[in-house]
Amino acid sequence: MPKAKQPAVMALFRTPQALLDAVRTVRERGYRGIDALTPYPVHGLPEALGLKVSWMPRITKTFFFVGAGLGFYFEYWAMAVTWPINVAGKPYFSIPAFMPVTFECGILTTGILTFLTLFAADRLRPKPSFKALDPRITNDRFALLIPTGFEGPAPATRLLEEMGALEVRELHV
Amino acid sequence: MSQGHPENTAQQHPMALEATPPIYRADMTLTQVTRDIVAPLDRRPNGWWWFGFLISITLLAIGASAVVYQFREGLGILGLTYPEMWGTYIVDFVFWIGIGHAGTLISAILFLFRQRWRTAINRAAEAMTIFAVVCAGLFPLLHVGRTLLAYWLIPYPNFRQLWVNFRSPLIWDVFAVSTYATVSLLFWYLGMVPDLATVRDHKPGKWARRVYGFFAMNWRGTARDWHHYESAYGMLAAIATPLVLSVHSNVSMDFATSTAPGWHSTIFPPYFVAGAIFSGFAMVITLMVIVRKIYDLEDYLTVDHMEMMCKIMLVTSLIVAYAYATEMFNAWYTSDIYERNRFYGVHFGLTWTFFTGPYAYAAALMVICNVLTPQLLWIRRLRRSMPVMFVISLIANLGMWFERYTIIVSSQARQFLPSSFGYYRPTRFDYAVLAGSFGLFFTLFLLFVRFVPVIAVAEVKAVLRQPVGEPAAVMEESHA
Amino acid sequence: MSSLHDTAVIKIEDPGPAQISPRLRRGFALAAGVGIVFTVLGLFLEPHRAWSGYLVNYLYFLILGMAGLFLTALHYAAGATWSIPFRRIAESLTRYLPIAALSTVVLVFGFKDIYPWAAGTVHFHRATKTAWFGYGFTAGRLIIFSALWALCGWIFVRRSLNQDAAWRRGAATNWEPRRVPGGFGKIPSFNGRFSAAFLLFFAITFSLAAIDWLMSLEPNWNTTMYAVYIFAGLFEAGLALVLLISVLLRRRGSMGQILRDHHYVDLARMLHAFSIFMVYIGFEQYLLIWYANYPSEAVYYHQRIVGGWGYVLLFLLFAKWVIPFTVLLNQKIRKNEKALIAIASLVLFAEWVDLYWLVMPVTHAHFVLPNWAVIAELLAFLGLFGWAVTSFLARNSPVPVGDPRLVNAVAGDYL
Repeated sequence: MPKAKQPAVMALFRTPQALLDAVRTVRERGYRGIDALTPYPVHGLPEALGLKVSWMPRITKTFFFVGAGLGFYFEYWAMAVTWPINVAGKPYFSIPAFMPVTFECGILTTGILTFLTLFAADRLRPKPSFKALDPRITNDRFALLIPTGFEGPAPATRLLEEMGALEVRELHV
Repeated sequence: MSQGHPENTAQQHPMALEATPPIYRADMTLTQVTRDIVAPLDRRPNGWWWFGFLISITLLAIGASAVVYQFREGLGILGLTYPEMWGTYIVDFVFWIGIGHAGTLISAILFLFRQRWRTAINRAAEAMTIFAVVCAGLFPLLHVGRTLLAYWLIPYPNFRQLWVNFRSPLIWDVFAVSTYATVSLLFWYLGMVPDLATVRDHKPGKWARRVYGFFAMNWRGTARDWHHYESAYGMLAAIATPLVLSVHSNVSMDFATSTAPGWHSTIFPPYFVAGAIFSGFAMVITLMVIVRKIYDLEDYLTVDHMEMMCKIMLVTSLIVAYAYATEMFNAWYTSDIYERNRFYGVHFGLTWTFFTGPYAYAAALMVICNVLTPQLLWIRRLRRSMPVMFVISLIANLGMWFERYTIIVSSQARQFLPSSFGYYRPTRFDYAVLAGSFGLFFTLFLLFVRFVPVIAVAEVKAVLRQPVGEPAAVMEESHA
Repeated sequence: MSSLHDTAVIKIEDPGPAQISPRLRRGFALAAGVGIVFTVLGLFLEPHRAWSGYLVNYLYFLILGMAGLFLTALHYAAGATWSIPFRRIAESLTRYLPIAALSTVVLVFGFKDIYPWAAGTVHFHRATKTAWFGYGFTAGRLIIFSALWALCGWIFVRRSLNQDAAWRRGAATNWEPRRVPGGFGKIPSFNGRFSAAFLLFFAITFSLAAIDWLMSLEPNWNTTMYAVYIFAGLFEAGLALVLLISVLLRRRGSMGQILRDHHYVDLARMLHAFSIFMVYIGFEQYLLIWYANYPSEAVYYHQRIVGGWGYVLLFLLFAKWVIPFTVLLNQKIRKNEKALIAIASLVLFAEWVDLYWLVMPVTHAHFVLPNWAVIAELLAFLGLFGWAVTSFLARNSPVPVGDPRLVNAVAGDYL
């Protein structure tokens, strides 16, 4: 369900350091719900914004064990339960021979599900009509986005200009 | 950078932190990276590109006609005959899968080892991986003879309630190669999403924007997005690392699980992996020497980058040499007369030996190209010279093809009893299909450099010297 | 990625020699003394069992010493920065190598009790192989190899200590790789080149030695993976021991401010990776032999699985891979000193069990626990090893303070 657009101000900075400083100051002043847009992952930015450690690794490990477990169980069922066939005298339930496919099942499951989870987490989807807030964000500028809510854009704009923003703009996101 | 260490004058003293060496030119800016990498996508391709594309398409057409002819006539057009039932198709399969391994090594293992220089080559190397796996995957499909029924290799619920034999190494291969193809593709695409967004935001032309916008998947670049993105990327790298070990190990087990002398060798899995990385890096070097020249990317694919790849080639060449030596030593050491006969031909009064028999040329090429010529890379001047490394990388790939030829073909020629002795000669169709696979590979690669940023823009930007304190004029020029 | 630039100046303080209590060193010396007495008794009273046990214990500590040498050389050859704080600890392990070389000489006297080719119970039908396993030739090459290893260890340690001394004097050394002007490539130093040469030498000699020591227990059996398997064990156990010693020293405050959490994380990550390498090599070797089911080859695993030995193999699977792998999968545990001590100790114990499992089934069809003679040998070698390592660390700084790139390693500037 699309949320109603919120008023916000966006400031562009020249360097990641300027952005980091601005983020810290703005958070100290009590602004919440701020976000930063950068052309590449800036080291220390998640911490400055107070983002929690990503839950992605934990979920990925779960995918691996579930995928590998199901793969192994399926091999066992197909080879030893539903229709055991003697091939080259190998035991029906051949643990060593099941290992390669077990491993690959784990990896395949992890790869696909991690990818899809990321798409869900970052709300990625094909969007041919995408309109960038500012094309420079994917090039060489570091943007800070502050929702302005009831107090209006003026104080935030002033603060950002004090922080040395190259330009500050009002918009709705 | 570090000539002249700080003068150490006291027992306890502050030492200056040696500056981290810049991976790219110290004065390179974010703007410039975007421009350098995205601009070639706007230009029409130059004559060199068309020249290469024409040759590749021609080769592809030759290979395709041979394949069509094979569909009509059957596998008899190839050199396959008892006891040599695995011929160049399997050689080509192993060869191409091996080429792919460098891409995953660069993108996953070097990522985990935090080798920042990988940012210049990972995109192209991953693309190479995918195209190489595509080429590799075709060969078993052709080799099964009834290609239309190749889907039988996949376990799917069917009317006869039969499942594939999971205890067979060939099925391990099906799983390994398809997993490898899938995960490599996802990894490659994931790495590309932010760059496609950059192209989307900077490309003139409505339709181009829409197409790149489609594939850029609504990428905005918020800190939250990057946060999960980096984490997911790291996890994919973590699973791709054991995956790359497993894939060529599984390929090697197609041979090593058998009892055939020359095939049954426990060192095969790591030996194949090292050989794969060797040949893969050789191919990356071949491609990068050309790409950096034609696309003016000398600032990104610097001599230092190329030298690092040469070093990895040298190390893997030594590992491969170790494996050859182990095989030779064990063939001497073993009490198994068949194994000794395979290598040294001392029984049954045979004159056939590893080095004087009909396959001696292949074995000699393998040693010369994979062990001897790469030793030139010990010399610093040579491993920093583009023409030298280009030639060495071509030689290495020739050698790696003959290594697989030696392993696969010449081992089948000397099985246990003389009734299973034979000789294999590839036909022109074998060579045509091999040429076709090169055509396919280069066609795909040329299309890749035409439509996709060849260098990972966001990753390069992340390791640049931060453009702090730069004059505004420099920064603004792109927006003029 | 490079946010640590703010800390442009870092103080490297010489932590001085490690604080190792003299009681510990005396304890090691005592263990060595008592152990040697009972070892000698064992070798005469129960030669068969005791010589096999001697091989296990001799190899175990030799492998640990070699691991120190190998890790030092690998560090230099790779031009690595992150591992600098651990280098001296790896170097300290090589101090045992001269003792190992001497115990190789002792081993020669047990050839007849250990190896069928020396006892004359196996005859090769080929003159070359008979010559290869001639008493003198085999003894000679093993002694020469171990002496050369000890020499290489001495060279590494010597240069490293000289560098420290130069730093204390305030003199600059140019023994570190230099940067290419304007680039990020490195021009290898003498250490780098010597290490590359050593690693080649190591690959050849260690593989041949692994065949002589262990594979020739069954002289008509062979596999190409064998030396790689022993090497994988060496790598994993070596990382575990360096991790263990560094954690213990840091808990006693001997590492100054140099060793930080991120170094542990990296070393633990390496241990994690090489526990995977270990199981990869071990499993592939098993899988291929199991699958081919070639009688003359499968007998190796048959001997080591029936008669209770299979449980040992299962233990190895868990101790060398399943437990380290699952525990170290958790990022937080890689900083937890107690957990690291537990994991490293487990891996080290498992390496000993691995060698026991490789050697003992040859002469014992049924599982046997180590008897008094084997325990005495373990005590003797442990005492000698511990004494050599702790004496070195008690005299020298446990970090290579003279390394000009130590600051970068401390700052995590390679991240």
